[in-house]
Amino acid sequence: MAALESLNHTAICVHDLIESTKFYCDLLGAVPNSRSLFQIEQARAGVVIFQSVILEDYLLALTVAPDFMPMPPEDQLRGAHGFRHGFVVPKKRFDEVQESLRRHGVRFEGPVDHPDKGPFGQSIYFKDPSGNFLEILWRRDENPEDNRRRRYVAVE
Amino acid sequence: MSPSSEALALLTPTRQAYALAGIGHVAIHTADPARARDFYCGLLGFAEARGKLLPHCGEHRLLETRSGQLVALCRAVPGPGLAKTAIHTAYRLSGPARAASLEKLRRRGTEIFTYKEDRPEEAPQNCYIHDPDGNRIQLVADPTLSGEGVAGIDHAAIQAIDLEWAEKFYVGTLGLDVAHVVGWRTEDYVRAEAWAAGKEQYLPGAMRLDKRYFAFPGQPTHRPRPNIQLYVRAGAETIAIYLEIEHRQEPPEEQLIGTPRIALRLARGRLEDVAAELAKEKRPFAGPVTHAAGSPFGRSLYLKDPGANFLEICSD
Repeated sequence: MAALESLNHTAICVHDLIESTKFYCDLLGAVPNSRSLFQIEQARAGVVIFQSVILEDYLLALTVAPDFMPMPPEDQLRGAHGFRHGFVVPKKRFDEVQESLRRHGVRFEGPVDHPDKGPFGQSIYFKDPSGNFLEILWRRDENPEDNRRRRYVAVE
Repeated sequence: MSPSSEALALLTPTRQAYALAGIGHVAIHTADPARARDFYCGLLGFAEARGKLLPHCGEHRLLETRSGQLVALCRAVPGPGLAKTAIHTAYRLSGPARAASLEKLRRRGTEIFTYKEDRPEEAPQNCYIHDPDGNRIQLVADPTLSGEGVAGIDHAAIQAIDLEWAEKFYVGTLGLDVAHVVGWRTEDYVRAEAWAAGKEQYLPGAMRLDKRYFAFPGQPTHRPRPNIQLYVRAGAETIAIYLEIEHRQEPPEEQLIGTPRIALRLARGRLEDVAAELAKEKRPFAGPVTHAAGSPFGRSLYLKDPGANFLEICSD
């Protein structure tokens, strides 16, 4: 059995790199990491165009899809169109996140209550500008005293 | 929740704008300045700026537009492979003036190229020719203009080996606004497929065919893609920066003054500010150089952008 440590990164397809980067960085608080295809060597090597962003300790490679992807209906905010990324915030910031989404005009579903005995407290569900499903939740088992942020491990 | 990010900030100017008033002049290469002068004046409607010369342009003929912007036809061997690149200079004319020029060019047998434009605002302006030296020229009809002759320089297109460096320099250091980008959206890739299928013609250098990073068995080894482009606005003009299709020989690192060159006009009194910013960014430059009496402008800074394109920043 492979001894895996953790999920390291995800490459997701987007339709507009600028719009998506702004969404993940300006709205969700990600930090831009690196770009590809902006140099001649990368282009000639066939590297795809992406902007990687780091959300807390997780890297998302926002990759421009070479063709328009069939996406779920616009009014569907909750689902798993192939996948869904769920991110955790401390419970005390959960209301703040919702307010930020409202302020930026991002529609979301929830908060949805999870079963009392499970690890998740509440979730909200929404989509990025390309239609990728996202979830933000707080965990019942969070340690409110633990303010550490895990160190990001670069994949380059 | 929303830390401002360096990369995103680069899409909008991060420095104080230096009141760059636009393109003042361009210097292009020709093997025969007199022959080029005849082409530009006789067929396109430029006026020769008799008795005027530009500093640091070598042997050249100088052309003038109605706006006062200048074009120096410098004696030098035009670079090889120019036709494969997107490098070009666009000139603004009234509709009737462009029609008259095109008619003269057709009678002369000059081939006129039309391409599908990848910048929406250029869609009605898809009219390109080559001068006798192979320099690509775009003729832009401005519906707000009337009269004969060439009204001015509309935009200049250059290449760079690294578009992120170019963005940091033109937007971050010089404070120019981003006017448009190409290659950042899925729609650009869809258009590249149409180009590869022969359904649409694009300006050479606007699309590229790169080998795949990996190919599954039976999959084509190369795939069409848009060539990444960045358009920055300088005053009323635009500089279009294309990722290079192939490597080219760059001028020596220590050479800061040369041609071909784009000159940006700067408000009086700001040259030292720009020089200070360049020094802070550790970008080599020459100047400010004070020009002799009779020069169309008083002082200049000379430098190369990160793509080794010669630039001049001049003021009264």
